[in-house]
Amino acid sequence: MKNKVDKLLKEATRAITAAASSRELDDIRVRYLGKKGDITVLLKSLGQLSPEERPSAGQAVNTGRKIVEKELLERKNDIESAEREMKLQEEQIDITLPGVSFRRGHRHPVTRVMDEVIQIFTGMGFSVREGPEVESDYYNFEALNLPKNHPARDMQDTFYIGEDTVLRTHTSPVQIRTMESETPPLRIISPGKVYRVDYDVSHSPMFHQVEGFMVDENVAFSDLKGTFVHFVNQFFGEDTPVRFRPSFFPFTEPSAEVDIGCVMCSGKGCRLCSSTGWIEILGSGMIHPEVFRHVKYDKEKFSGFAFGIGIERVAMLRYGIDDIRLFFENDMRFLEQF
Amino acid sequence: MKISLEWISEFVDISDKEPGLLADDLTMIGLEIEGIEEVDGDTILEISVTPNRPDCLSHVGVAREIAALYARDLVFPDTGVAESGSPVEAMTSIEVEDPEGCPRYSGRVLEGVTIGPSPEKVSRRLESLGVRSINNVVDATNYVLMELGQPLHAFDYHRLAENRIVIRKALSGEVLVTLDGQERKLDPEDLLICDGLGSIALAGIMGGENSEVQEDTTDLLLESACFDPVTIRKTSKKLGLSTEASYRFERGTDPEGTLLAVNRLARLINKWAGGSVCAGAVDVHPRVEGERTVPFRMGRIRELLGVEISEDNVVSILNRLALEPGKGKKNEWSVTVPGFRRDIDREEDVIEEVARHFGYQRIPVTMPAGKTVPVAINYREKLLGQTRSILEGMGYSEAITYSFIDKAHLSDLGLTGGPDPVKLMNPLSEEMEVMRTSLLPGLLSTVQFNANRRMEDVRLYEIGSVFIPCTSCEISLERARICGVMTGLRGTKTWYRGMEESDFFDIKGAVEGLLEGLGIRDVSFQEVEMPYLQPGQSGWVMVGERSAGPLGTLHPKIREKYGIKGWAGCFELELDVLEEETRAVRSYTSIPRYPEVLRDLALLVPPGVSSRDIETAIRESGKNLSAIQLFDLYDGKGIPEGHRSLAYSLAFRSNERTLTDEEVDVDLSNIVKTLKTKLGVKVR
Repeated sequence: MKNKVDKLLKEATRAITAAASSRELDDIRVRYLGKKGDITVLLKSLGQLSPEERPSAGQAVNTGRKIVEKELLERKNDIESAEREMKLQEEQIDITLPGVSFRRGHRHPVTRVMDEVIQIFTGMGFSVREGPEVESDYYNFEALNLPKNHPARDMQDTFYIGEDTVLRTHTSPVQIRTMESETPPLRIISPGKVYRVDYDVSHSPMFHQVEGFMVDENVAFSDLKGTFVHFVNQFFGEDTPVRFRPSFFPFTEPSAEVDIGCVMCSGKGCRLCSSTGWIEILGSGMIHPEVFRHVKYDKEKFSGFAFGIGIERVAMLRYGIDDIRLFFENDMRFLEQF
Repeated sequence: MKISLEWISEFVDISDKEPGLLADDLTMIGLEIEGIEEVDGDTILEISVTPNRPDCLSHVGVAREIAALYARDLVFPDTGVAESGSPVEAMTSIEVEDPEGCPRYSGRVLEGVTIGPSPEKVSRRLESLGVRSINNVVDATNYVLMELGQPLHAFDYHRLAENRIVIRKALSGEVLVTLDGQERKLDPEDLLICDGLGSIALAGIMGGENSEVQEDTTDLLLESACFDPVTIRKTSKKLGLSTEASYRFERGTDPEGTLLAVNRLARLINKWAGGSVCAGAVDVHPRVEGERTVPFRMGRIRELLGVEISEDNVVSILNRLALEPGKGKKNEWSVTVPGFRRDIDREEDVIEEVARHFGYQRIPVTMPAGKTVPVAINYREKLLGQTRSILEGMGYSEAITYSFIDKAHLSDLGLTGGPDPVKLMNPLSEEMEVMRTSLLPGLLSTVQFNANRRMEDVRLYEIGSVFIPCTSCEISLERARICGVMTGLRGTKTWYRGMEESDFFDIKGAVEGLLEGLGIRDVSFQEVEMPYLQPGQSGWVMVGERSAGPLGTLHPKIREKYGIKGWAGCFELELDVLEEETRAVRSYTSIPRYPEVLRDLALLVPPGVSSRDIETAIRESGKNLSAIQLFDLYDGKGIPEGHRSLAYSLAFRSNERTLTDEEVDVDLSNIVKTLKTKLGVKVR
């Protein structure tokens, strides 16, 4: 029996070593250890032996079986890892080939900047209100202390639809509409499209504004300053210089233009800032008593400030865009940069 | 306004001020310097003067601000006149028929002047400010204009009929040829300067040809008047004629300055053109402006500015600006406003003056205290943000196009008919003449713009207002819409996968994806024909029972018109309809506890039966049906002409137990029966 086992063992070992694939190995397992496998048959035949022979023969067969099992397992591991290795080899690719892109759409830079501005003011407690783009002369001008035949109307060259109907030249009419229907304290911003008769590299007949105002008891010019210093720090960066300079708007008194240190030359003076080192970014001021009179607010009780930011202008500064018309051409090569 | 620093230095000492620093200082008190230019050893500042400060449209006016800024003395130009001629009363008379239009008219007469070139210094000075030098008399009027801000005019005395002046409103249809050779047709709103016979000048705007100073003129009548700003502005606007004079009059001139100005003018002409000045001036002043005082409160300055400025400092600033502060009997403060300050008539104006000269930069920076106002989330804004994110995720880029478009673009799309679109009275061009009634023309033009630049795979969207004309509302209804256009390839061109052109189901899928993303559940599509969409590939997007707008393949003729080579599709949805639907609160449906049973069903569908018909029938008759999914469409070999084979995967489920095969079979046979009887659809 021992010889038989040794012979089978020798045979099996040779076959296992020679096996090149998992499948071959499987065949070998069946041939020796399967239900009708050679070793299984030997094992079954032990019963025919005499009781004296049985223990040693049994031991020999069992040892033989264990050896085959062990060799099979070892060989199996070897082959599998070789096969895995081969598969990995086959699956190697040139990873520098371009990826399959998901098409991504791009948000218009005006919307991006507008959202950012809105967010900064929302953070300071301002709520968003909207109003119509076709406006009455009253809301666009009259109620904002811009009577007919006032030279300040020249500051906003207007598209007319009728004698008393215009395309709004600013979103300030929303200010009047809101104050007419609500009572202070109020912190409101109104984003939207506005229209002026003007067309060159820095003026577009349609552009976007975020205008806003705050009315409460004891609002002072110093609060206006605080609000816009915060805005500039948030939008243009903490170290951006800000200055407030007297100006004129019919709907505010006192009025102030807000300038920031030139983003291009950092204040040294360049073409962008006309060598002044400063760039105007928004107009503001304390709400004019005439405006309060139109909305029946008591100017002795309430005060407030109002402001207007040209979105294209700040977007041009932010992204270094030198022609406002690019915003409305919608060239894909432009849009896809944002 | 151009200002010569050499000239300024005649009125205020600026010898220690470097021009750049002076410019900064002026900018910081509200006289914004837009440019500094060196001309022949002089420095010219370009000042942007705001409409409220006509007094600064002159050298003395700017010098006054500088004097106030540095607390220096202002030297007023010499207005002394050596009179030697006959008394002026004997020479002329001035009659103001319209005191509202002309509150004051001062005049002088000069005899025996010699018209010739101006002194070199004068012509150089004028030219460096952009004023053309003409002759000594005309130059003198411009010189004093630049110096004092008072518009002036010199008439040829002998060309005035009856040598007198009448100021009156024009007659209807009256005609005047102005100095520029233009014939001006006038109406009773316009103010005229006339002589004994007829008009000789358009008051406050431009002189007439018939009374113009000529080379042989010897005697002059000088005009220095104050006109009503609104009257001048109306005429100037109507005629489209704006001059140095009208620009100042419509902003307001100093009624108290006319006499000084005419004296200064007479002095200079006398000096430069000789002759003699008649004794006395005619000064007709039918409307005398009373003393203008404006009360103010010291406490209010602190309240409005948020800074404490000492009483001494306030008084000093106001004095330097010639606003003469004073205290009344009850200790109440007020200022007396000089004639040249047309802009100060209320307390806030006084406070602004204090703030300007105190310095905005010295006002502290504080954050508004006040009551906290709760920030209301603007639902519309939020919805638009979501919409943008979803569309961008599907590859659509945002465009912003003009709200005014070419009317022809609307008729191209067949969108005319019905009331005319809202039209601008003064459009920039025909291409920007009417307010859009659809976002589509703008987006299609954008597609064309890009196609012309070889960018043909384009997905664009725009969110904006359209202006629907209507008879019942004032002008138009403004409606917010979302429009999308898609053309070119489905994916991007790659080395890796095939390039497929997109089709109807891509744009439909985009709309479905958008609505699904916004949480709108009840969406269906209804066949409808639109003039700009391809018949048989177009429909309404239905949200519940309402149409949200059209969707479809662009009509080939429209594609051709906009230079689109391949397929293109679009949608345009009403935001209001979507918004309403998204406001419904979504509630949670529990996750099924029992497994679903899947059955496939291949159907032979006769012509005229739509996928929607089949789905509806299946839903109606399958009691335990939980989902339907179309997974195959075939109309090739083996399928009768006009028929289609649609294969659906149906899922059945109960919330109470695991369904048995028998139960599902019952459902399935009901479905098959219904399909056959209702739609004539058979199982394949």
